[in-house]
Amino acid sequence: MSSPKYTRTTSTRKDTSAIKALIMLSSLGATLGGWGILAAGQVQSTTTNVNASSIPAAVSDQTTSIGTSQQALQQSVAPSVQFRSFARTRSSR
Amino acid sequence: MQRIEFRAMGCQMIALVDSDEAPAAGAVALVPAWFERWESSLSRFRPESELSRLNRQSGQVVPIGDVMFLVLQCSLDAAHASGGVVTPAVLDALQAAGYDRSFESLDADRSLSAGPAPAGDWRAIELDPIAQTVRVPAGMHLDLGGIAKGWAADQAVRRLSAYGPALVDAGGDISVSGALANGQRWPIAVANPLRPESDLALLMVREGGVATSGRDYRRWYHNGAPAHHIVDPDTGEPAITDVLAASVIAPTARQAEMAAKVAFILGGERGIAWLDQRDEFAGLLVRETGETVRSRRFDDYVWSESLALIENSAVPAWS
Repeated sequence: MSSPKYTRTTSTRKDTSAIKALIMLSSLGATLGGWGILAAGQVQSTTTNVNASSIPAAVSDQTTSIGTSQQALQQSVAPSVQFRSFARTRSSR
Repeated sequence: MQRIEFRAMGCQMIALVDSDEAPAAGAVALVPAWFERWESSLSRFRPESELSRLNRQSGQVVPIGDVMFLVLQCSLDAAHASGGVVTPAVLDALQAAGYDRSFESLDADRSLSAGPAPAGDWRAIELDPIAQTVRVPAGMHLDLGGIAKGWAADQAVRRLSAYGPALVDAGGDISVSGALANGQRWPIAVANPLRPESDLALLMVREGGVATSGRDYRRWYHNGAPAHHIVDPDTGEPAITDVLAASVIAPTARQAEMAAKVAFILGGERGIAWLDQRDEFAGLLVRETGETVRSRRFDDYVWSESLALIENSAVPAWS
């Protein structure tokens, strides 16, 4: 399988700025723990006390700069956003 | 907040209770044992499980335990609600497609001689609620994988909710019992199937279920051709669809799991139409092109700032 090519459904420098403007809100207190996947067959149980803070959750903004030409937009690294959340839905793994 | 993380049913599991009381901590510590008990009954990968014994007795009337009865009832309810698109009678098809062992044990490239095996007619399964028996037609064999995870998430949340607001994430099938102690909704991220380290949206869910069906992870090569674990019951083969992943919010995790699978199998256009016809579901589909499609009620659950990200998302396209 060849390497993926990047496309934008819509993209402007203004939209990028809007994403960058998302405020880093207060964190969820003590860490909720990593999303690290344990090795198959390994069981690890931890019970921790975690303080939940108010919602909405913080947004981690890792936006990179994007060129102005269409070709540059298609070849650029797309923004990567990871929300602070209590859980994450994805196909089972 | 009490939290526990462990592996069960071939997936990563998380259980949370929003309470600092000792009984809540005690309850959370029991969750792995609950899942072990359920898996020992429902797993097709354990030769000694009740499901494996049931599959060896197709054609016979077999007494079954409470857990098996409840999950079979849920699976038949799902088959009815989905018009047979989601059915438990797909084990032979899954094995013919190469998924004959746990995903962790699967070779990336399977070479098997068996051809596709269309699913049997789920309506022929005879579940007797009085005698608590089941008769699976001779030659038909069952898989309960997806519905079992959704059911288990709902069951665990129901038990934990006695100790405080609870959330259980069973490998991405998520069940939530009610608002957090501060009255706010649970923030639940939707992973980007084309970029695993990134999220597509942030949902705010008070109670109910969220689930995702997709071919971005459980996939392999079967006789040199790409295959995945979601079978189209009509063909008996991995569903041919333009959808890479479908995420659905529903009143329960097991309903969300069923609806996500339906939307995935039907494809982007028919899948969204199916969701839009049902008020109890809201969904987000990611096509293999990177395009995202939202059902009419999806925005009811999305944190508004993350909605802008969906609309302006830049995701890589498969090529």
